[in-house]
Amino acid sequence: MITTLLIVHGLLGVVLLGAITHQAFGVAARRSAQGRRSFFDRFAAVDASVYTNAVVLLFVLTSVGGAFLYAPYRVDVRPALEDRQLQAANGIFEIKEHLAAIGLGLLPAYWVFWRKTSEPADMPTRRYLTWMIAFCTWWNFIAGHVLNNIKGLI
Amino acid sequence: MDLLSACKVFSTVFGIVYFVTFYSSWSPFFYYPEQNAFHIAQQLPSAGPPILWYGWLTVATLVSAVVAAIVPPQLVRKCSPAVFWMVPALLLLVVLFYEKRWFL
Repeated sequence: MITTLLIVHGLLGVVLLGAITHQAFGVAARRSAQGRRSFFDRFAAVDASVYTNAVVLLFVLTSVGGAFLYAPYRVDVRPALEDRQLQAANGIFEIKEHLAAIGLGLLPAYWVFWRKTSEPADMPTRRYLTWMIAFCTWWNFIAGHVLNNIKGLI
Repeated sequence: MDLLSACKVFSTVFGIVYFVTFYSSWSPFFYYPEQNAFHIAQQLPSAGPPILWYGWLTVATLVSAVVAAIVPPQLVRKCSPAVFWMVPALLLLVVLFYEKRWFL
């Protein structure tokens, strides 16, 4: 059961990472597309608004999965990290749980600022909220993998 | 209540309440994974380590929802949109600064 949940949690994280990264690049200020377009120009040349609902849903689902995995982590992994005095590894998990919470809290405002009716004055807020959620997602994804490599749940 | 304004207030307040609860290590309930049980009060060390995170999320959600329902939409519309990213961004920095203790 934990194995299945861990795999689903990881896969949802991958999809979320793809969606939020496209969107985060999509809202970044770019030079006008003259001449050859780089990989990053092409990567960012998407209708970033189409990712919003998917990001909200995936962030919630991934966080719910993480909330269920937290209990076995607290029993099996964290004591092992403490025994090995891997304080930094514990620290990256502490930050992971905070970023998951802060990211969840940001989702309503993020959704509002990505509505089609948003004013031009709302664009910077839209951009920075997207980047914050992208930061939370990237941190949590990498931290999860690092911790799983140090001491898995199974 | 205007849903769009309420969403903005919710997101702004959520992080602050979450930070206050985790900084003070206060939670309305504790989950003990070894017992698979929730408790209102902290248990003896023999019960194993508790998880407070669920309590922090619950408090942040409830308080933010109440505040979001109370704050008048007119007041929210008067606020600069920058408020709704600057407050969470500052909070993010405060959290990261506080948690640097793990890496020293």
